[in-house]
Amino acid sequence: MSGGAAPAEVRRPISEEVVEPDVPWIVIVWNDPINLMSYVTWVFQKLFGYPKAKAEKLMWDVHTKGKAVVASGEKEECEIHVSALHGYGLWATMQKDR
Amino acid sequence: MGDRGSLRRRSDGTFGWNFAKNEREVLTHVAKDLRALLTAETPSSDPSLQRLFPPARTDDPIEELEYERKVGDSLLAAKLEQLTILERCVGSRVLSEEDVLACMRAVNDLRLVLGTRLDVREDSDPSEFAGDPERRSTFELYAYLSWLLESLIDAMSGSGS
Repeated sequence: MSGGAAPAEVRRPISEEVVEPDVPWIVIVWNDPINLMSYVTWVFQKLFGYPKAKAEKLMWDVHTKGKAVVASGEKEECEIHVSALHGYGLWATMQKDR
Repeated sequence: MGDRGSLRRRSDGTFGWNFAKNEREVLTHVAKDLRALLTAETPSSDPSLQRLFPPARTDDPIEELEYERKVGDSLLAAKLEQLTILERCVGSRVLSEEDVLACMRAVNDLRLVLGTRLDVREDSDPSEFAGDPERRSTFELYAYLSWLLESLIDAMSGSGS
């Protein structure tokens, strides 16, 4: 996986933090130069149960665009996804989708 | 090492693998080193650990602290546990699927630490590290671990020989 924007470059939204029950959370995986493309694809299949074609598409998005949204849902659900991705050594963050 | 580290899925769902003696020694050695590092250092004291504990909430420092408080200890415990499994497995000929998963994560953690130390890029090649014997041998180890991880993925995906 080649270079690209690092998670540190994510800007904090300008709007104030308010209760927004309808705004889902998203899980983002960021590109990095160490994780193998085959490994990233395999982890997406294993953790999310995605078919190989979808996992490969997401991996290529990470690789070529620098990041990809790999899952979305409730906050707690996304926290579980992020910690599982960290368990596999992938560079994952979560944020509100807005 | 024509048959190095080869892993294959057996008909009963377990995995058979067979390491050369030098591979067992290398893997045992690097696993021990990473355990010592994980036990003695943190990502703030040793940057080579940063990729093992990446931030989850770059949008919110307070939420990030909360996330680290919630999952930091269990992530560290999991990383130590999978190193123990890798150390057990290098001396074993039969692995369960859970063993292979733990070995994959441990081998990838080792790659993340070495790759961070070497500051590898997507297009890094061996010639970059040829001038410095220590960096050259670290890159050779990194390349071996990459090969090993690929072979584990192949076997888990069912395309292993």
